Amino acid sequence: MRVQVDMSKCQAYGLCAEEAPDVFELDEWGYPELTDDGAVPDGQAPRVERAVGACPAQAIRATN
Amino acid sequence: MDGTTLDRWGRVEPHPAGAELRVGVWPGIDPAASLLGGDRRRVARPAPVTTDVERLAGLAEAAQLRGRGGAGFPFAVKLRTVDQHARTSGRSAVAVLNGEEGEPASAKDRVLMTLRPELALRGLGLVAGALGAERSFAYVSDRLARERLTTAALATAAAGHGDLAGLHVVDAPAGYVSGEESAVVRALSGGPAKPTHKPPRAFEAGVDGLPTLVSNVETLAHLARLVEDGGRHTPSVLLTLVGDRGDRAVVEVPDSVTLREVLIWQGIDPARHRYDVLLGGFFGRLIKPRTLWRTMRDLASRQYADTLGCGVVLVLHDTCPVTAVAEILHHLDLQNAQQCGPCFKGIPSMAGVVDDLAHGRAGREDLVRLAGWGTGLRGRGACGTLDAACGVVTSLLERRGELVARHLTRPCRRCAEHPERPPATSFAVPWPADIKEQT
Repeated sequence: MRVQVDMSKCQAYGLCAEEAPDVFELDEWGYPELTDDGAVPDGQAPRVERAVGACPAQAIRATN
Repeated sequence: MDGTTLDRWGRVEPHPAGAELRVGVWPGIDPAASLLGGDRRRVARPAPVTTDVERLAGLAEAAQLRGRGGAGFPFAVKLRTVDQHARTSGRSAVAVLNGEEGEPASAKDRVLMTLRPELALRGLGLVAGALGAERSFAYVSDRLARERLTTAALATAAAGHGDLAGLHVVDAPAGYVSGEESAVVRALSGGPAKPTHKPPRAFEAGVDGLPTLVSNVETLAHLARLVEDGGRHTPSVLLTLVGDRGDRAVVEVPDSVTLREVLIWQGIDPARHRYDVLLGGFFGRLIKPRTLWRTMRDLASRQYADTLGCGVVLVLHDTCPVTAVAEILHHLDLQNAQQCGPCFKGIPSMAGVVDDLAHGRAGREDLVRLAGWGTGLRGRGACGTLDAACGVVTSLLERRGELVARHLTRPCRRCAEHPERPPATSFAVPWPADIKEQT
């Protein structure tokens, strides 16, 4: 699985980092940075899917 | 205001008093290769050519034609990709002449559209014809250029250069981001001229979701020339030279000359004058000394860290590079699309530190933060604006590190002469309201 964040939609709510802290790290302004360039580690997929659903800005997209 | 002057052979006229912009063509340039020079009577009316995607792509590939808007993407790859997406999806492609030169220090596309509007139109017509595009657009914010293109489109279409039947000349909003490919596509689809997240890119889902080829003015002009003389010549290079003493010139040079040779030709021999060069405009870098010895072809090839970009050569005689970078960051902040947090937060943060450096208020820890942003924020915006800021900052720290470090210990005399950041950048090329071409 791979994940992308549309930074033109992201509003820095930060819920992604609560759901999947190993994939989304927040920068000093609260915007997510993707670890490993968006590659989702094994076992993290369910968390990433929760992050996708939790994002109020609907800025996250996951692809298999 | 007196404008551009070119004599009938394309040579530079002596710099007229008060002129804002000179146009110069390298002496002895092959007329068949030249966009701005050459004997216009001989080259102005080439026979119409019809062509197909493979022949166009083959000529572009053999000439190593890359986009001249800044990104330097190989034209042949772009053309084939759009064609492939149109074929597999069974939908008509769209062709776009991107004439929105949002880079403030660049004027070469405006000059080309204004003085030789037929050239890029012929390139656009050939591309639209080869792709079977039902619609094509010329997306231009400059009023004069748009008028010249509109007039020339009728004659170009009548002469049978490709397919301009579906051409719309569109009034583009002016701005740093509005010429970015996804912003062009969004504007032509009825939205704001602001960049979008990729993917999708224009070649897969562009104007109204159709496969779209967006190409720079100079690129399409070269393409027309390549087709018309069967690829016998090597495309030249257009540069905008902007000096901090007010000199502004658009010059056309062969791709075999070095940057140093261009500067000597323009009367600023780097062996005799001390100055810094920022190559590639606001998306550029302060260059390494070695870069002066590279040819235009090498600088366009993207195999070195310093690249030609959109062809802006910013010459800093009197301005400290720290002040110049602060001014560029300030402009990128003012012109920001305000869409992506890392960009609209990161750029003013970087600008603040560089301003502090210029004013002798920065400490070592500020430099560490600046360097971290310069590398860490790269790629984190939807368009290249943030990458532009990161690039100029990183080049300042890497290439002029000693000079930057001196700003920590004592006030910079040159920076003190420019305490304010002008709301409109002083590196912009003022555009003549009326260009008079001498013939």
